[in-house]
Amino acid sequence: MVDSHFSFVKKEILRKNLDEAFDHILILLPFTESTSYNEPANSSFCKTIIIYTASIVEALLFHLLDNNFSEKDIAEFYSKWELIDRKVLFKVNLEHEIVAGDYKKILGKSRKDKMNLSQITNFLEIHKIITHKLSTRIDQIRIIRNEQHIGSSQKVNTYSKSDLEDAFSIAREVKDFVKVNAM
Amino acid sequence: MKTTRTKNKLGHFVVKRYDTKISTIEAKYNIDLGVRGDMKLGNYLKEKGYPSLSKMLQQ
Repeated sequence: MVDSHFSFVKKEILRKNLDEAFDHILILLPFTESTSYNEPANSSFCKTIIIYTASIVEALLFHLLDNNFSEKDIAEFYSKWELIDRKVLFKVNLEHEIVAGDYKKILGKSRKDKMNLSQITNFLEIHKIITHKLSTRIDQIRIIRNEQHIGSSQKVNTYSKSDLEDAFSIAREVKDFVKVNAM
Repeated sequence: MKTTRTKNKLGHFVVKRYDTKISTIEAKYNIDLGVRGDMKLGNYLKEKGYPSLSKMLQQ
């Protein structure tokens, strides 16, 4: 009996959510093949499937990040140096000042659960958990997923079978990678 | 939100499997997929051009 397609994910809620998303994809996919629906409807089904697929990719990468890094690591990554109690010693001109003050490192406020797909991917690549090649692949699905934000879109996007197979192919690569590398 | 997913006797979710029959899906969602009912879901996906998804089902 197969209870999960993500049995390597130990966190029960995450595993169930992944299976739910995967199940939705399998339910929706035949509708894209059905002749009962016209092209815009099929494209719409495809779009929803791509969003679910990207959700799976994002969740698997979060799982990888969550297993390998603490909240402190994230805060450290997003930390920045700030000049506090700045005092102007000399004003050179309107665009140039010589200043003094306390230069302090301020820990970032980002939390793991607030990180988006782009941030997670970037973090994992910089920490050499994922390769640049995989990161580029993930970026492909992120860009397609983000086309759901139609406000700034310059064209009417339509989605087809090849877009779906691309998304599934990326999801499969990520799943295979996380399966082996998530402790 | 309640889920409609099938559960086994232990109350665990049962995921759709590679060998789920197309006729089961057609009946559940009232849809005609235009292939033999006894075809397996995994083979259907592969045949329709979704080898990656079919592979994910197999794992």
